[in-house]
Amino acid sequence: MRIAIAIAALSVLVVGFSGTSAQQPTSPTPVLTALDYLEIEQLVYRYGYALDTGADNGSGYADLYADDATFTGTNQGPSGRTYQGRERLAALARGGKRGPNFMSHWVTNVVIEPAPGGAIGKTYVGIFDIGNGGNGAKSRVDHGGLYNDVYVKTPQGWRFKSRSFFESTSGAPVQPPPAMMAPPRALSASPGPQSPNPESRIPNPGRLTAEDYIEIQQLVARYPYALDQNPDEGLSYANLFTPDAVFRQPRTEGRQNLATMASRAPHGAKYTRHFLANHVIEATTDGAVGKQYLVAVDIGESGQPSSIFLGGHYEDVYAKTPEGWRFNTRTFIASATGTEAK
Amino acid sequence: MTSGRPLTTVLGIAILAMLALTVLPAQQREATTASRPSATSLTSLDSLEIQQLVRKSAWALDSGDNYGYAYADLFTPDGAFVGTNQGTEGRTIQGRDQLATLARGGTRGHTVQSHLTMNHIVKASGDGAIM
Repeated sequence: MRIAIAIAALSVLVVGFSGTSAQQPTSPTPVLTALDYLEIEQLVYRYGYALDTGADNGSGYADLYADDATFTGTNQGPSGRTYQGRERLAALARGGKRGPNFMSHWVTNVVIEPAPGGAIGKTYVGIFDIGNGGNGAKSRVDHGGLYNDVYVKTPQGWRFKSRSFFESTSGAPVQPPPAMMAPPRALSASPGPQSPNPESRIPNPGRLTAEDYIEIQQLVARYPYALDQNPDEGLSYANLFTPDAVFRQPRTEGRQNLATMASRAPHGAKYTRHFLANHVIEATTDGAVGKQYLVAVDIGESGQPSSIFLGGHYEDVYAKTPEGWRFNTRTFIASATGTEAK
Repeated sequence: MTSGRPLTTVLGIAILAMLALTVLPAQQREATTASRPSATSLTSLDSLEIQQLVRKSAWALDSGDNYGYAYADLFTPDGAFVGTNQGTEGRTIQGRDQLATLARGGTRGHTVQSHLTMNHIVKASGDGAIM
């Protein structure tokens, strides 16, 4: 009897212990406010300035990282190299041809989402080699790829907990990216209806809140990943659109056809080709419209030169659905030289 | 750009965009002084609207919309654009008509894409926002 009680007590202890140990490593996932998104975006943009200028003897760069944070250049050496600690990170930003007016890191397509203990994110980066102020010096895209980030909120503000650079590679076996990210969703914490009808529209009073702007920015920022990396046979690409959406050109209607179209485009787990810029957004009476520039860059691999494949712009109509903001129409228009205006 | 458009030009112009970023909102200090005497922090919507302003300047400059006035009207009445790379000591273009003329020069059009804005940092200043 006593033994039975002891065993029962022990098993309760064991169960209890294993229960807590399973929960322990999981930090709560915070709800990110509009300001959190903006502050993380600003951190990501400061990175370019801090690295290219090497400001404050590299300290400006090191200060973007939390204590014990790491930068990993997966393209350095045969198996990548990791930098940790203030001095090592500062030294990294002192290397190369830095200067107060040097500009090289073009960061775009910033995707952010809450994660246990803070947030994770990813961005495209094009690394330019621009001559001195365009004085006849040859300018080019040197190389590029993507950053995978983990962010943490410190008393000084949002900081990198880790950042890893992956050089763009095409034709690699298609595998999920290191940090799998859910499809975009509404910023509000409310879970919403269990099976929302994605065709329904949430009326819009003709004004956009900060949350609306950010959700639409995040929707557009996810587009290049869904197309270039396409981890799921076009599913995450198609899910950026409303079920009745139309893409042009070629005219493609409906999620199934969109998924098929995306899967025919070149893609790879670390492939970066669609660089977006100048995303502007305007409220309409029943949603929002927006446009942005596209520069499709063929990043040179293994030291080969990079080139611009094409450029142009997208014109979008966005619809707010119970799933969040989605593309209702998206039209690509190739760039064409205009006439000299008088 | 078309495939014939030289990469060098595109990248060179990207520098101009960077310069524009550092200059544009400096004018805002003048404009916001009256309406907002002691702004020391920006709301999320302020930051987003400033971001949109800078992006609109790229569209307005490349399209030359409204005879260049789409670009000029993004500036305050006394706003100025400074091209530090123009001439030996840089050049300042001030006033609505002068700014519109600037946006009419070169090859403009609704499908011209040449200015990329990127890495936009916004900070609150005493009476508006800078950079």
